[in-house]
Amino acid sequence: MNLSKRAPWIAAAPLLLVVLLAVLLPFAWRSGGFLSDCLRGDECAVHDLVADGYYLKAVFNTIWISASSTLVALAIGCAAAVALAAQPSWRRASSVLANIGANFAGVPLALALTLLFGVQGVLRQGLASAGIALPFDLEGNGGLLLAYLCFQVPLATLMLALPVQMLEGGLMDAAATLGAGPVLFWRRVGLPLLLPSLIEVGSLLFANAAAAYATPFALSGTSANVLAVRIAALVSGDIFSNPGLSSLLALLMFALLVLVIAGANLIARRLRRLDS
Amino acid sequence: MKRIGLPWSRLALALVALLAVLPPVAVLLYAFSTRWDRSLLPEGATWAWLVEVARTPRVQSAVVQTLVLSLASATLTLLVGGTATIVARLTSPRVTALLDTLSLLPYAIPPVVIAIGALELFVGRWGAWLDLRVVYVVVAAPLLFPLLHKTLGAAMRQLDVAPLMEAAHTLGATDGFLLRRVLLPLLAPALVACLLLCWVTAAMEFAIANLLLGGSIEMLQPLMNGMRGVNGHLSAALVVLSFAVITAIGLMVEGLMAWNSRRNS
Repeated sequence: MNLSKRAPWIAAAPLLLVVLLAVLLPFAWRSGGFLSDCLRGDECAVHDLVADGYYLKAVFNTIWISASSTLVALAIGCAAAVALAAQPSWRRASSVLANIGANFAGVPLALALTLLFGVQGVLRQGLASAGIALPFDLEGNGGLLLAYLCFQVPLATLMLALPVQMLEGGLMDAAATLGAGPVLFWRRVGLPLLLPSLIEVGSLLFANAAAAYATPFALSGTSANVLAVRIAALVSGDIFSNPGLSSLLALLMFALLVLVIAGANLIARRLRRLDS
Repeated sequence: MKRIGLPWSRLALALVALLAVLPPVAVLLYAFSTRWDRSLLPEGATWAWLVEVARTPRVQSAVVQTLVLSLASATLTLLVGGTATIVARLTSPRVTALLDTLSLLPYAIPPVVIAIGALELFVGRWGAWLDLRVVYVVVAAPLLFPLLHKTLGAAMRQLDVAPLMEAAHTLGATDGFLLRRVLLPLLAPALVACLLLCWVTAAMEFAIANLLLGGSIEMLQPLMNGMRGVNGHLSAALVVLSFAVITAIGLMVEGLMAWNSRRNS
């Protein structure tokens, strides 16, 4: 048997069917329901979204927390990856640690943070007895940002380790021989070459943060005002059930994430073409 | 190389280590201590929480349900996703590009949206005809596919299959023969690693387990969350047990991939 031209399509068909049934069909069905409600003119969820600042705030919170956790994670992760490139013997241990951090999200992370920084948390109490009050509340946006950083920073380090390592070697030696110091090298050579990878990794980190449901839900229940929690609470909640608004928020999230991921891929590809 | 490193990069590395290590260590200490609320350090080392959690029938049944359902989903992903990725990488850059795009889909349509869609359509509308377990297994599979596609893709790139195919064709072997007798045996460790990775990921997934199955089938992560409110030590003990298993499986995956690349190089 030789693989024909149709073979890859036949081999991919079961997977495509599973994705179609499990992901695209329910998504299209819900979005279609929302659109037809609005086109018929009865009970369009857009009115609920605009009338209630609460849901617009959830959109804003999601963008704010995803963007800030991404930017901080990129900065720390990139610097850590530079340190790792200079110390090959630390790479293995660091990658194990970062892997644990990146996967320690959701319920286990909420448990740990409540233990350390909750109202009765040992670190919060310990610092308070030393006269230092922590400037954030675990259930507010500050606490949420800390929680997201706990998995975003290790993830950024893991994803940037390889691109930073690729800069290693000849390029750096050449710059050093020509008298460039670290700051000049990174500003003029290192960062411009890394930029496409930073943009791609940044888009995935943004999507990872925006999609996070377990962490905000485990930290503050349905009162966490981010999109992922609102989308679920509007359907599974008994009191404020509004499936139409939930579908609209899911569509908004989809549009936002497609824009970020596709935009980042496009810009990264352009930049790589300019470099080569 | 050292001359190029920025002075504060080591500080950043220390910060990464702190953020990654502090939460797991806190949970570990809490799981092994009698109480930890009076001072900065926990008091009274004990195995009691771990023993109690392992003996609780509710935990045992959640562990079994989780392991069975997540293994089923991981197997489905390996069968449909593995076939698609291997054949596409061998023969068609176009289908490979489609699969690359497909592996970005769970980033654009996150698990919570998938779970709510499945809840409304497959449980709310068609719940009378569909088995909830089957729905869970199928719905979780697309979330695992990116992991499989990436891991298997890396293993195949390392194998450099193009010259192998050329040699096989020159010697008169068919693609089917090459696949059965050469590629699949060479890729076997990578395939096992993919299965283990998908299994662990599915077992630790929260959104679908909580929203789709919540109320009818109790899974590990929602149980952990529920236990937090009753007894934090027990919940911490459950987290420690699950992460011990995950770390063991992670080490197996790493060992398998390392052995695979040594064997194939």
